[in-house]
Amino acid sequence: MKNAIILHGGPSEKEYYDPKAPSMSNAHWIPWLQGQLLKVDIAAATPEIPHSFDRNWQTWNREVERFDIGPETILIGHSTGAGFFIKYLSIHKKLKVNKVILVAPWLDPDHNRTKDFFDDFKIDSDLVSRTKGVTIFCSDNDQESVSKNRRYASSAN
Amino acid sequence: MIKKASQKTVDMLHQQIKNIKYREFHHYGHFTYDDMQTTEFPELLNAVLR
Repeated sequence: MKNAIILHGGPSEKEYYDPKAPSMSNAHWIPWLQGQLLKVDIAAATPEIPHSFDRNWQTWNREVERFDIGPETILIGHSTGAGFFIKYLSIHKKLKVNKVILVAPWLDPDHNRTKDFFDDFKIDSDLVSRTKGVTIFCSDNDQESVSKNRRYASSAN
Repeated sequence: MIKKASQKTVDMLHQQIKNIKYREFHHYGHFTYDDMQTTEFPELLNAVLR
């Protein structure tokens, strides 16, 4: 049976502790997608990373690895969650998975918002060969969206 | 500083990873509820199931 892991992004600390905001695994399109996949017998998991505003690799890795990851596993990541899967596939060089979809991936390219999270690995340029395809979803106004910072000063990563 | 980080990441991945596919959407922002104004994302579901 196929399974899927849908991994959320990293909020700001303010968003994380906002009692009116949903938990990250319950935000945006994540619960809807999980429901749709379960209805077609894909066991979809939506790990919730505690203290996800603090990009701590051990914590993110521990929560994701609670679930099976193998050739039948579909990986879907949003923002920091998408960046997580790039690193995960890059450092596990023998790992084979099913499809990978990276929604608005973020890898802290200027290395000014995380430490020992995205700045300590090299991207495996051949990682697609160990998957059934890797697709980036991006939007023509993502920069505008991030810069607008509608509700939270430093969220949306 | 974070303003261009997401697009920079996309450019970086596009340049560094062989055979990666790229799909651009119009006006979906950072694919958050605030940007999309919906919790449904059928294009993503179709991409998973296709």
